[in-house]
Amino acid sequence: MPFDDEDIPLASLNAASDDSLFEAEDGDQAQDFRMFTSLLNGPGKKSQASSKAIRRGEKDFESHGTRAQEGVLESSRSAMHEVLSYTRQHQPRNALCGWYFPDRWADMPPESESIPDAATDKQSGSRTAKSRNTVQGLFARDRVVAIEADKSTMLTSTGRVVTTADKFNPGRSKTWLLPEEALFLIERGTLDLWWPVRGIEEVFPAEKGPEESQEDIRKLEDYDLGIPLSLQAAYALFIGKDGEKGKISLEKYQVYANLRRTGYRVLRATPLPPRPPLPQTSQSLWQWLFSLIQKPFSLHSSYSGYGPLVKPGLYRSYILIFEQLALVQRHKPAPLPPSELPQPQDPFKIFFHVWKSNSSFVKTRPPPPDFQMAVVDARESSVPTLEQLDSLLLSTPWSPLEKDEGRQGAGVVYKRLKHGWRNAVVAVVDRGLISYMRFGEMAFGEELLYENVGVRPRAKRGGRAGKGRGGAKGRGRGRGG
Amino acid sequence: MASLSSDERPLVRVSKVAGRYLLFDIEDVMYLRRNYNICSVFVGTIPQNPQQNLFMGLPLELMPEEAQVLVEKKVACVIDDATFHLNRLAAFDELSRRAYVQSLNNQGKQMQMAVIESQNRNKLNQQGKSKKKKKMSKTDLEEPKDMSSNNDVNGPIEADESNILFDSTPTTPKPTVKLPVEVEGYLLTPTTSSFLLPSSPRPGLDSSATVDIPASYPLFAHLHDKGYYMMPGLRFGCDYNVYPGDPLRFHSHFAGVHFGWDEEITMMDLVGGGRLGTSVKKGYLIGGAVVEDPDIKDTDTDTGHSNSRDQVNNQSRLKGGPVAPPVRTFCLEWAGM
Repeated sequence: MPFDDEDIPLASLNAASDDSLFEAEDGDQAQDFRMFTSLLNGPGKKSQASSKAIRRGEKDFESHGTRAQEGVLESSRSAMHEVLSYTRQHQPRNALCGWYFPDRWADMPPESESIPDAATDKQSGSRTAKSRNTVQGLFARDRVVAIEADKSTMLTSTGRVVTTADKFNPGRSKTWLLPEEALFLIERGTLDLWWPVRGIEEVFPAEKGPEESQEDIRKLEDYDLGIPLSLQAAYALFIGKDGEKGKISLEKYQVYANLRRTGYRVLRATPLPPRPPLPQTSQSLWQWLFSLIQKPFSLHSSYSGYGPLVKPGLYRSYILIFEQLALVQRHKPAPLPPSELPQPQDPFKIFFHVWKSNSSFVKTRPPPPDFQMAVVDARESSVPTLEQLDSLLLSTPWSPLEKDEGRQGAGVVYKRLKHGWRNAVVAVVDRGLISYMRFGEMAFGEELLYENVGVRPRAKRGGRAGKGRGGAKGRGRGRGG
Repeated sequence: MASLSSDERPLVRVSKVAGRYLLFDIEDVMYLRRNYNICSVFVGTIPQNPQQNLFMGLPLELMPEEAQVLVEKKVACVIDDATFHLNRLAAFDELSRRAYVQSLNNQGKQMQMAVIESQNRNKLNQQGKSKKKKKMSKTDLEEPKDMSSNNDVNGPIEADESNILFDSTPTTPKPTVKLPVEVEGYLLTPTTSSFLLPSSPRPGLDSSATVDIPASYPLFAHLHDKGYYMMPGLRFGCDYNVYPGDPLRFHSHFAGVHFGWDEEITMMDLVGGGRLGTSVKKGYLIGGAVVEDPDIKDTDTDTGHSNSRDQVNNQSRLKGGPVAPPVRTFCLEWAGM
């Protein structure tokens, strides 16, 4: 809906019965579960609801008290009822069972906030980190669910083996899940969660070998070991306040689940190591670019307090004039050394790293994330201040568009501007509704359009003139015919 | 519509987890939806089709206002679910544990049997259909009347058709799929923790938690009392999306924003909200609790929708009186002269 157009709202006011507008604005408000049942029910398993043809977004303005309307509403409701009364069930053979051990890793060190030194990270980074019990992205303290099997395809980006633990620690070779991972797997019907009654030593008997331990579990009766938990129990156990050990806040979980349902890979954010190619090559390139840009600013000193802004003289190009007109300092994005990175405060702090679903993804050594996401509760926070936004953006890695560095041309310039020099996604959650917003560090001062104007005026003007002439010719011919 | 009156029904348990209010029982959800115009937002994944975001499943996340309204109408109680679960699970003794696991296993077996049965039926149906098609191609010219009569009575006849077919064609081999006598049974993950509830619920046993209501509660309670359905307003930049009926069926009429009685409202808010609301065909509704003179009856300046409003009011006067202080509401529309 164009807001700046004065005429169209009037038209839409008059067309009060036009449903298409509502569909556009209102479309995802409340989904009609009848559609869902019609998707679910295979051939043969007919339900009342799916037998009717259903269109999306078909809604009424208000109740007009007809039986037809009530009937349609009722069938929508009963379809919803039917879909949502489903009980999660697992095939007995390949059920994925998880056990809740909230205090298993309680004595592990919390995830370090610091960034591994660039120097040590290159060669011996992983080894030294291991010996210091701080593997990046492990979050061992928060891992509360151990699962028995490690075969599911869902686990390519979910769960970690706590490798820093002692060798003879029971549960060391198990895959441990973070609360959001466990809850999501339960919710989608992949995981069956159990509350252990016995200790972990009995649930996962001494680690002789993976096969033997599996057999041992089968020998024991289920109810001797624990209680199968419900979805409600899982929510009660895993959802907590921010920063609580082994829990996650509901809005963060909702964002996590929303992204996972769409197919993204999501991991909790870890401080990113600086990108390897940056320090040497591209920095020098940027320094070179800055040196170009800084030239006009160096002219500042030569401004006198009076007289014309553009010094009188002979100018053969506009560039020099524009450079003299550039009085106002513009923001220049620049990569920060790791020591100067700010520590943003919650909630405007990167919490998730998100990857598009590519085929190759190693959860222990993930590639640089495609998106960095902070999660904000719509009701408890307001629009971020400049400081909050600034430190949020500065904490994300320096990532200008790399492929077309320095190329000119309108398309490239706007693409570069839109992408920004740093960017972060903020997910705003209002009681279950999520909106994603992308904030980017923009720098219009980096794109000097007058350089294009100076370089290409003739070509452009020539083009336009050519068209004009072409048009005239066409008309002429027409008249001649 | 009301299948159960509130007297017969035990209080709806709203579980409070980390300051959020969740409903897990579909029966409760539908009950509130039908009788107390609470719709709210489904926030869970639907296990039948977990890779989509269009259709959401249980749990239902209530706004704090909704939880508060339900508590004040004595329909629901709010339970701190984390402590409830920890206490109950710790106190769950072996006997009840065994019984519970047993009952789950039985349910799982039943479900698996049901699934196998329905699969068999599907297979039979499909076989029957393919047979039928062949038969049709042979005999469609000979007995068209018979076919048409079959088609007229479509739905329930279908199961019979296969039987008839098999009776009439004894040469076809018996279906190879048989019901297995003993199945291992599905492992079930129940949706609610009803197994943890004491068998004889005593009121006051679980300490009910309080609801932290936002400042905009009076407006919500007022509109809810008038029979409107409310959804969180994030999509239209307001406090509440106000629907005249179930959002399953109706478009929302208003974008509601709460203001304090003495709060200054900037013109920019009014113009911006009015324009936004109008361009998505909603009224921009502002309202707040009356502080000075509680006798003022609420009157709407909105004349365009007054008819629909009265209708809604008459249709669904809800049990229990108003649960909030009197509220005045105003509705703006962008005139676009």
